[in-house]
Amino acid sequence: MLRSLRTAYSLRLERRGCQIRAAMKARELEPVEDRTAAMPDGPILFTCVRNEALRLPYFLDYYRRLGVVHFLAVDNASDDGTAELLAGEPDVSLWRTEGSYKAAKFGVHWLNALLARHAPGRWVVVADPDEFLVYPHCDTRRLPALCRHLDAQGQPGLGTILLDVYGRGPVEETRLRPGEDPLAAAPWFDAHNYVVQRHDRYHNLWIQGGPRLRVFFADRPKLAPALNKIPLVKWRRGQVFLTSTHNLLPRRLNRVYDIRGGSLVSGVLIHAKFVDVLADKVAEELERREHYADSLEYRAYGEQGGGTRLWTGQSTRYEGWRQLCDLGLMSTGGWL
Amino acid sequence: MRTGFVILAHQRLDRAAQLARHITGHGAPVVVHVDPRCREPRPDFGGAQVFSAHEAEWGMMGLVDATLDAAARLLRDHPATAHVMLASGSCLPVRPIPELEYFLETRPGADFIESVPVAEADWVQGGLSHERFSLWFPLPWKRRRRSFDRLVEVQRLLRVNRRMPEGLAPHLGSQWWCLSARTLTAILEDPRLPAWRRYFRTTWIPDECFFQTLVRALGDREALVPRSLTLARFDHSGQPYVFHDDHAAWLAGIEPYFARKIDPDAEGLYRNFLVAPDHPHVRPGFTAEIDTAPFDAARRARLEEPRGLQTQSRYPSGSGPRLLGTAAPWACIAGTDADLLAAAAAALRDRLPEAEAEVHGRLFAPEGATFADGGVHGPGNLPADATLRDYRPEQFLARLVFARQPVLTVFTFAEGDTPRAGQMAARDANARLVLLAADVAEADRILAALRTRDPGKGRPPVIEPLHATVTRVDPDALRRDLAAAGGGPALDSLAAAVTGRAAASREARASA
Repeated sequence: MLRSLRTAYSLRLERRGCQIRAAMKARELEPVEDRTAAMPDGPILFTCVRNEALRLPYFLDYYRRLGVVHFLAVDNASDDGTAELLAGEPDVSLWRTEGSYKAAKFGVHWLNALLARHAPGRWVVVADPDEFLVYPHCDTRRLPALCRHLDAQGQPGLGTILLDVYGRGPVEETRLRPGEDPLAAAPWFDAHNYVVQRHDRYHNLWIQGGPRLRVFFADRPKLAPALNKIPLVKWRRGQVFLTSTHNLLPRRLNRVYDIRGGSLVSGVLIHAKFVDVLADKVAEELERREHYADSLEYRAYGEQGGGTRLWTGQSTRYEGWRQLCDLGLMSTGGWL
Repeated sequence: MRTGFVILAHQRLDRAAQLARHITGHGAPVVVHVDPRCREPRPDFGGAQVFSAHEAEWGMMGLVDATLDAAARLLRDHPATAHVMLASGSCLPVRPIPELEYFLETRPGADFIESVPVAEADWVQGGLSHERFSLWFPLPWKRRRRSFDRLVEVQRLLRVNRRMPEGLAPHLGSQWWCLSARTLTAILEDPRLPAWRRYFRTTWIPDECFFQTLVRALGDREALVPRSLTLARFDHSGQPYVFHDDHAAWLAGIEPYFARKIDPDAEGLYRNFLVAPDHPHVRPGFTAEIDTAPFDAARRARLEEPRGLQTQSRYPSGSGPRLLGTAAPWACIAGTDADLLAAAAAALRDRLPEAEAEVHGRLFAPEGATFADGGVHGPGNLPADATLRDYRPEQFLARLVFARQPVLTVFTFAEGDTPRAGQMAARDANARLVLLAADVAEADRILAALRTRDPGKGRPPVIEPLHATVTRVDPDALRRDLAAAGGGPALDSLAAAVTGRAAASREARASA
């Protein structure tokens, strides 16, 4: 009893701390194009980008098709025309910052600041430009229908697994063309190589696995990147993301899974990171050391050198959401 | 004689108006009640009469008041009305309106209303049953949940037991009905109506019991069809299932005339079902038999599946087989002689068809997993690498079983292999554990070693529970059979134990 009170209090302090840091980091954000006054009803998407001009056109179209009505983007000092591209879209609001990605806890503080200002009362998607949300029936039902279902179920958000997709050949030969569906270039994934644990403090699930575990972290699985994400959340005042979209506070928002032997509806976040542009990113990011855990992941990738292949004879080719449900990679949770 | 329609709308008035316009377009009278709390702009409801009088809060009497008033207006303004169909703003007619009208014309005086005696109401999904009538419910559940629950608890403690008004027997059923004008008039003109309204005002969810109870008292017993003409199904927690564009084909094939709820974005359904029928074909009977398969599957998906996996959707907690269960049966052959295990695996691989069983080698050997095909990656890229496999060996095994089902997963297990996998082979109810042991004493020794878990930190070892089916096979006999060309009884019994075809001998288990 005493312990749970103490935990509750310390979680509250932690959440307050996040809110304060977000408010402080908000000062680094400089509005370039603020069109939020004209946002129609519907889900809105938050993203933090750096040099993503290649990926953004498809990304924006993908989420527009799913029913996202407005995009709120933070541009972290891009120099490849990303800012111009975003500012030119009528449904995008853009902020720019020269601040440190790492000091902003990998963008979380910036996004928390924007969320606090623009998201309360709405369903929000938070995704990177290489993350594509897939959920049950996503070919026939758009996000507002899913959000209505989650509202009716009293489910605070949608749990997903980050599914790394890759091409058949080496990563640097997996060519991503502008405006192209990354799944066309990188349609393969690991179907069963995943482990799930529960985080004691935040109660979110902690999922690891996929090609990054088996190729880059084979000798130190504990350090492999987390694949659990909650990219779709009903936003209320006082909520914060903690580490990327892996978990939130208050921690009841992380309970997007069933503990009685059933399933809650969930999704998959297709992660199209392993394409040719990664090589340039790795070089740059190793220089900047601006990523999580001292860019451990990028270092691991760098150590492998060129010619890294993620594909094996046991890889599975992506076919659609039904296949993901059949493989147990996501669940309808009884969404008829 | 005509059929009139009452539509209760509280949000997405555009869709409710679309429905009203469709029905008035067929010349049928429509009265729409709009929840006064709705702030949406009023769209064009066609020729429908629209009024707004009662706050239609979920589970409260306002819904019944609105229905009564709307029905009274309909019958007053359209005296030729023979039937009144109650629908919501999120309903759709999944069969043409003229077909419904013809159906009702051929059944004058019939009342279509689901009405189940409360005593046999397994009808309720996740909620109160007879207490709906015996306790007082003055508070809205949706807004005052905590006070609502307190009030129920207090009344239970005080053993509150309200009396039904004279002559009424409590019945429950779907809110959506189609009643004859005669029955509705009987209800509306009964001198006891004010008293009944007072009573039902403080029952729980009166829209699911008011008409359902009164029809039994005032309606024509002979003419009562206790089934709804509206398909409305609820999930395990009492939430209505919602239909989307992808349900179009299924909805077109069902018997009921209306369906709810329809998702407001289901443009395809609205386009599909709100059209003038090209040929009003008429079906003779009405059984209200519903193909429940999709709902049953949804229920299983929500409450039970996918078995044997931990995913972002599910993390079964608690003790027992639920904790780390598996999706399907699997077999583990444990012994002390690694060469014999390898030979046995090879023999089984020859003997069992590939479509039935996949026989791996030592999956949990210290140097890494030996998959059936000898590859470094198993199904779905499960890694053969020992470090990765042993990171979470139980999940490795559960994933493998899930990935290959319905093909049976079989593997061998020798001394020194990952202990946690051995413990799982003893603990999991889906496990078929075959012990290669010369006698019962040796079998017990192997089993005890499998089941013993070292919790670390200097604490005493823990013995895991035994839920597996255990079979003993004599290693010497097996060696002889493997050497012989045509096999023999020991190999037969190994194959039988692995495939679960034979009733397993319980001797090892009994003595353990």
